[in-house]
Amino acid sequence: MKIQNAVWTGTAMVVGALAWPTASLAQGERAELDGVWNVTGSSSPDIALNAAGDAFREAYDFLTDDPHMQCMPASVTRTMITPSPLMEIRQHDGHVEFNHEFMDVKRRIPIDRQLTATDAPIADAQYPHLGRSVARYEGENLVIDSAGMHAGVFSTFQWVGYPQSDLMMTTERYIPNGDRMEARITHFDPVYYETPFTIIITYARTHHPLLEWGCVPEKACADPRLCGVDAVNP
Amino acid sequence: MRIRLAISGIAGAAAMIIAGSALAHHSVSTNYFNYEEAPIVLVGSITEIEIRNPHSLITLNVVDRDGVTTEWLAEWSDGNALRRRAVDIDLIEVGEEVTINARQHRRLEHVVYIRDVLLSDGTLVRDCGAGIYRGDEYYATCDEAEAVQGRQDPSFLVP
Repeated sequence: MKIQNAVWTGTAMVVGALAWPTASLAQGERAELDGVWNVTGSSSPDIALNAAGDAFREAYDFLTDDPHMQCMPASVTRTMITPSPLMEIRQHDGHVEFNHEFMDVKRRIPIDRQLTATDAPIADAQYPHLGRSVARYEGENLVIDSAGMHAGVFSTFQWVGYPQSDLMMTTERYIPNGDRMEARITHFDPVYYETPFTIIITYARTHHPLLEWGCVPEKACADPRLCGVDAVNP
Repeated sequence: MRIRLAISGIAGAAAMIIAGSALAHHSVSTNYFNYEEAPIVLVGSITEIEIRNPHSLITLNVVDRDGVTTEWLAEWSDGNALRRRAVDIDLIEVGEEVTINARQHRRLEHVVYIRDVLLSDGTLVRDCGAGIYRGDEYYATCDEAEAVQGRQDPSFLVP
């Protein structure tokens, strides 16, 4: 497994370096990333699950295994691709904050080129399963590396029942472009996937304020019928 | 009968596919058939309304042809989105007899996802989904969006 991980990490770094000539991607200035954003679309790559990933997905039951039924965000990516809830970015000296309306996820991420993701602090104390994150700038792009996510389901939306292991690492790249923004999230997980994959999400700036999500577990699945207790067999 | 908002149909779907195809197969579509696949019309009396996150819920009693009353659960968009999109949720009241156009759950009986709610006075309350935020502009309401973009199928892009 160590060798496999080393290959993966090396591959990811090469792929990342080749795929992202950062200067050419930055169409705006980093200050433009500050603000409230609304998802306008996302693109789905061919995500190649390995045998373990296929097995996980086959066993996934959307009625009983969706963590949102317990008011738990499945992953940062899942939080970000949710169509309606808004996302806020605020950059500060030394750290950046991401406030997501969805499940009230609030990430606080240090900006530190010397820190690795595995040594970084938990990004959201309310949701430690979302992992540890550290940020840096590459030109006008904001880049965030994350590790330490807990094993579980990676997405319940678009890629329904796709898993993540506790070895999953991600790199988020935020590319400013005036009142538009693009986020590219690359996922590295040798346990469940054949190769790294990148999900691209596009945003438009909005002047609507973020609202509290206020998900209550007892209400997230208020009736047994909605969380599968009385589910008929598929 | 006064129809304040016309029911949005399939017209406009082609435009939405461009912007929204990547957002298909989300959690609503995981749980519910697309409207075109399994539409259902419920006529019943509302017993409970909960506008909340991650999904709102309307409970209603439906009496069938044999006089048997069955409780149905009708899920809807998250409360934040309904409010931000200026959906007239406050017009819907407990005890009111309504007609709900909905899409059926893939596995659960008597559970649906709301497309629109027709009130007894003819007012149609609907949510055109996240699609109104697609594209270069940001619209506050379905009416504003559709004045520019044309009618959209709300079943495409509900969160």
